[in-house]
This record gives sequence, C-alpha cells and structure tokens, in this order.
Amino acid sequence: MSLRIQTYLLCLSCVPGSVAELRADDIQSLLARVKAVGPEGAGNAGASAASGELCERGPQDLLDVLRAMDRAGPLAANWLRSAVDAIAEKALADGRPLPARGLEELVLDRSHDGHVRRLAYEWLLRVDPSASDRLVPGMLDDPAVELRRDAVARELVVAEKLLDEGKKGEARSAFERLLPASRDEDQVSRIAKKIEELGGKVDLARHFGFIRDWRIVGPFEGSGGVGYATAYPPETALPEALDLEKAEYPGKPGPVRWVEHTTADPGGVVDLNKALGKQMGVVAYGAARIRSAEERPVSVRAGTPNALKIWLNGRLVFTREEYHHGSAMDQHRADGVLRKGENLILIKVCQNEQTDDWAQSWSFQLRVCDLTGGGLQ
Amino acid sequence: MRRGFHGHALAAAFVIGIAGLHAPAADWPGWRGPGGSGISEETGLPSRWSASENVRWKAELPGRGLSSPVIAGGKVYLTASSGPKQDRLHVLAFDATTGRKLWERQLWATGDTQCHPKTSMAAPTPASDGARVYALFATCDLAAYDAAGRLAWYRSLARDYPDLSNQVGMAASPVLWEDLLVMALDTDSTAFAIAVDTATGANRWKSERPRGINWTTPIFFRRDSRVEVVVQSGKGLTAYEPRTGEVRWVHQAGLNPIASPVAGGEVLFAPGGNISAILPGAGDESPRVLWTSPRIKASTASPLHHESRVYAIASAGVLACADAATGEVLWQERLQGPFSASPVLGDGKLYCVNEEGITAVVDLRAENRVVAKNPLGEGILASPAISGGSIFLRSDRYLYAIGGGSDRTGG
Repeated sequence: MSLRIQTYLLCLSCVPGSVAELRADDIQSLLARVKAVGPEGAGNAGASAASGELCERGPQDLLDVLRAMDRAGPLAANWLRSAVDAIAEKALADGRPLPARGLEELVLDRSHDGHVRRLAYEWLLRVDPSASDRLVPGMLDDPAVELRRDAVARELVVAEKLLDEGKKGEARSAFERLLPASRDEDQVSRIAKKIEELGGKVDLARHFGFIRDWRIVGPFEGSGGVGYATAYPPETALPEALDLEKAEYPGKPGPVRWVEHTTADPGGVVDLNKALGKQMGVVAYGAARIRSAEERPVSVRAGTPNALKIWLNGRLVFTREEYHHGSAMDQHRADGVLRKGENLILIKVCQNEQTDDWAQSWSFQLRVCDLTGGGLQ
Repeated sequence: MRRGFHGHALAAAFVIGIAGLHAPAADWPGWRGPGGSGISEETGLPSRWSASENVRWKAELPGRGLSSPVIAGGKVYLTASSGPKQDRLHVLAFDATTGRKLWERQLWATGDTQCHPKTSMAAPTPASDGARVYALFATCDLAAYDAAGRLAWYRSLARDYPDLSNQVGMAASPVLWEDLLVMALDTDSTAFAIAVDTATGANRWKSERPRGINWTTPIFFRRDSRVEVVVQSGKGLTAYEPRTGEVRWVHQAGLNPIASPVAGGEVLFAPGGNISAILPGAGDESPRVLWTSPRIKASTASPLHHESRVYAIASAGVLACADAATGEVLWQERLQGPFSASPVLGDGKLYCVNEEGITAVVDLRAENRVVAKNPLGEGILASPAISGGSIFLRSDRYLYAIGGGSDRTGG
C-alpha cells in the first residue's frame, strides 16, 4: 500500500462517518464484481477474488450481501449465497451475533426476492428459533413459495388435528381455506384428498390453472425424427393470423384441420393418442387463446413424455428434444409475459417411433400460472 | 453412486500424469478413488460392522444423495440435495478423523430437477485435488470451493447449454486430469464432452458427441505412453486427447449407458450386456475385441480390475471373477442384491454394498470368500470410499466412517 493511500486512510479513520462510507463503497465494489459474472465462466476470476474478500467480512455486512442478491440473476445469486453462508457460519463459529433484527425485517419485506427472504429466514432461525412461530403464520399468501410452503404445512397440521379430534366440519372448513393458498403439488393433493374425504369437491385442474380447452391439429410427418425440426404451418403463422377455425394443412395422412378438444383429466392431460388416433413418428400442435385483464409476468409449465416446443404469442419460450424419460407436472418451465387482452399459447408435441411398451404415450399437460405457481383463474 | 465411471488398476505404467494418483495415499479424490480404479492400497481395513458396531463416526446429512464421499487433505467432501423439488444443492466438508462438519454451502438449482424417484440431484460424485473440491450436480450446476469453503468459481452448465437435461436424472461424475476437470454430458437433446480449467472454470475444450441419454463417467487410459480420456455410452467407446478434446478413436458397439468401463493394462473392460475386453489399436488401427463373455455381466454397478482379474456384479446379484486375459470365469458368488453402488477393493477385500445398505465383504484370499454381511439398516446407493483405514458410506441421511482410527480391529 502506498504511503499516500495509507495517509488517506489514516485521515479517514479519524472521521467515523467517512469510514462507514468507505466501507460501504468498498463492499458495493466487491458486490458489483461478483454480480458481473456471465455465461461460460465469464467474470469468474474477478468474482472469485471479490467473493473471497466478502467471505472474510463480519456479520455487520451480511445484510448488504443479502440485499445485493435481489434481481442479481441466478449465477450471481449463487455466488452471493455462498458468501452469505460463509459470513454467517464464521460469525456463529466465532460467537458473534447475526443481525437478527435486520434479518427479520428483510424476511418481512416482500419487495425482496423470495430466495433472498428465505435465506435470511433460515439464518434468522439459527439465532432465533422462535421466529418461526412469529413469522410463518402470516405467510400463507407469501410470494416466496418456500415461505408459503412452511405456512401451509403449519396450517395443515392444525386442520389434521381438528380431523383427528372428530371436528369434521371445522376440519373441512380449515382445509378449504387452505387450498387456495397451496401451490406445491404434494400439499395440494394432500389437502384435496382430505376435502373430498369430508364430502367436498375439488377441481384440481382449475386450482392449478391447467388449460383444458384446446384446439388440436395433426398428425404431421415425424418419421425418422424429422418432425421436431420441421416448422409446420401452425408454428410459422403469425399468432394473430393463426386461424383455429378453418385452416387446413397438409398432414401425414392427408389434409388436417384444427379440432376442438376438452380434457376432463384432473391434471389437464391431453391424450393425443385418443384425440388424433394412435400413431408413431408424428407431430401435433395444441393451441389455446387466453385473455388477460392486464400485462403480467407468468410461468408457462408443461409436462409430457414427448419432445416439445412452446410459443407464447409467437415467441418460442421452451424447447426440449427428449422422449420417454418420464412425465411430471411442471417438469418443463418457461417465463413469459401475458399482454393485456388475448394471448396465444401454442405447443408442439412430437412422438418418436420407439416400439417399447413404455414409449407409446403421446400426451401433454400445460398450465399458465403466476410466478408462485398459482393457477390463473 | 448408482451410475458412474470406473478406472483401472494401479499399474505402475498408469501412474504418471493422472492427477488423482498424485494425491497422498490416504486420499480418495474422486469417484472410486485414486485414478478411478476403485482400489485402495491401504491395509488393516475393517471387515465387520453394523449400525452400532465399529462405526468411527456418523454425521447427519441435510439431504439425499447417490454421490460418494471423496477424501482429500484430511477432509471428507460430500454433496446432497434437498427440498420438495430437490432444488437445494449442498456441498459439505467434514473432518475425516472426527466427523465434525467444517462447512456447508448451498446453491440454488439452475437446471431441471425432474428425475426418477430413485435418484436425486446429488448423483454425480465430486472430485478434489486437495486445493479445491469440484461439485457437479444433476442440475448441471458446477461449483469449485476451496478447502475453507470459499467459492472459487461457479458455472451453470444448464444455462450455458439450455438443452442439457435428462428427465431421468444426470449422474456422470467429473474427473480430474492435471489442471482440467473433464465431464461427459450426454442427453437426448444435446451431448458433449467438456474440459474446464480447474482454476477458473472456463472451457478449455468442448467436443460434440452423439446424442443419447448416458450416465457413465469418463476414465483416463494410458497406452503407448500416451493418455486418453475414454467415454462409454450406449453407442460405444470414444477416446479423446485430454488436452484438446480431439477424438483419437471410436469403437462402435451396443454398450451399457449406466455402468462405466474399467482399464487394466492396455485393455479396456467395457460393460454391455456382457463384459467385453477391448484392445485399442496402435496408431490408426481399429480397436479389437479380445473376448466377450456371457458369464460375467455388469448392470448398474461398474466392474473392477485388479491383478489380472475382472470383477463384476450382474443384476441378479451374482459377483463373478474372470481372468482378464481370456474372459474365463474363475468363480462366482451369489450376493444379496440389487446393487447400485459399484464395488471397491482394499486390503485384499471387495466391498459390495447393496441397495439395502448391507455390505458383503469378499476376501479374495479366503476359501470361503464372503467373510461378512454388514447391515447399516438403511438404503445405500452410493459407492464406498476408503481412506485412513476407514470405509466411508453415505445414505440419504448419514455419512458413516466405518472402522479406522484407534479401533481398526473391526474384523
């Protein structure tokens, strides 16, 4: 360190406010270097050096690092998360307190990213286990899905206790109040089962926001695996120009037209083998128009054992050329934005030519939901 | 680990240039240990244990995993995954002697977490060169932490290469070669072998491969004084020049996409329906199949080569020993299966851990070879590690150090 800098720092150290500002500038510089990471390891060297310095910081800087994770992107968020864990772990090992009050404020501030709040919550619990009883009951409508899950789990225990005590009416009411808050499939299924056991009815497809009413067209040629890469007319037409009523295309067996198809499956599964007839080496498209009262960010989630592509308003938002490795709700996800008014969802589902018994399914399910996984009603 | 790679015996000619083999004797720096051989040079290893006997220490884990523990510089590194969507990725470090947790770091998954219920996002085994631990997850999140738990670098391979996913669950482990970390990432949508710089995580080379789901781990293979990195898939074997990724040779055959090959001398033993012995050709010559034996098979667990013998466990749980030169099966033992973990060898004993967590200890010097069947009372899919006189086993709930320390008499 040069003499000039040493002198400067010495002067600054006489002015507490300036020292604090210097430290703040310093940490913001470190955080900026970490947040500069990019694809394929870009920025890793700078982030590594900066992160190493952050890891040596004390708990007084913990909140700054946590706040820096907001909208940092998944790469930088993981870098910063490791620094948070290192700082907090070291502080506890050294017997230094974590800033519990600041952590709690961060947990309660819903303007922060859900991941950030959850991480703050977990470190808060390490120093204040009572925070769970204090905070979780208010999180049933939390945009942070992991916090919301804890709140649902807590209320589930209460509802099930009512059931164990033979208070069926109160229990059913409790489960029915809980269902709209629930997002995760396992919790929703558990609640729905209880409601139905108590005489109620649950529309799971509606709860999750699965699209049930589709226009379907196909089959198009997919022999030899050509279908996935071949852009058939439904995907080349402009969304506004896609005629779901009268359009006719050259299909595999001859001309094909859009047909209405409504699935009654509780998981919104469309069985294309039933809708279009069982065939192999083929391609089908499903289209649905969705109205939105406002422009809003959404999550488009699909499940299928087949290769697929998804477009939202003509923009390709998801692709995966994979066949028969399992199908599950929400296994494929993409972010998008619904515009105010009418929107077009288009899905392409490709079936290959495997002869195995377990490779015969040609199906899909798709939902458009809010960012917590709540179905758009 | 349920699916993964296999290495070769500690033949002297093999030692030079293989990063894992530069490690101290007690280290077990990657899946199946030094050089990926599955073989420890240690003696005095335990033969008998249970959940309450001969357990040196036991540490609770925060999540599930099929990855094996790795040991370097007196630390045990392990990965785990947790959460209802398995999107919490854990990297842990323990003191190898005491089991005290030294640090734990978490990452949020950036790739797909969909998988077969039997596996988890902590399926690939990490690797360590002592300076860092390199943790790859089935989500294709790849992180390097230094020994103190500071993040040295991080990659989201799923964001770099968006089609990188398989819905059964990725599982191939990374392997270390000098200053490179080499991975084979094969899926239906995209497939490639890739080497990244261990210091920065930056790509050093990336070589496209035939698409197709695959879980085997690369092995390093020395012949004619040169080293190749060999990747097995359902379509055969491909050998790459480790510094450049240039393809040296290809052997097309219907092979096992789960169990990995093993090297012995200048021969590769590749699991398909049966085990085949394959001699890569000199120069531009095509590889030659020396023998294929229907009496020695590998299913999920990878085979092992030691002192001119090949050992493999078939899906029915039959352990077979074959002459590496001829393929002649010399003996068989029916073990209680099924097996996901691959066998490891030390102190003249094969350790074969079945999915119920029962380890059959097979003493290769004994007349009655199966000398113990040691239950831990919980399922285990991860291959064992050997270091410091202990056998390290991991379940979804605990990491165990068996034997070693002051009490090495376990058997």
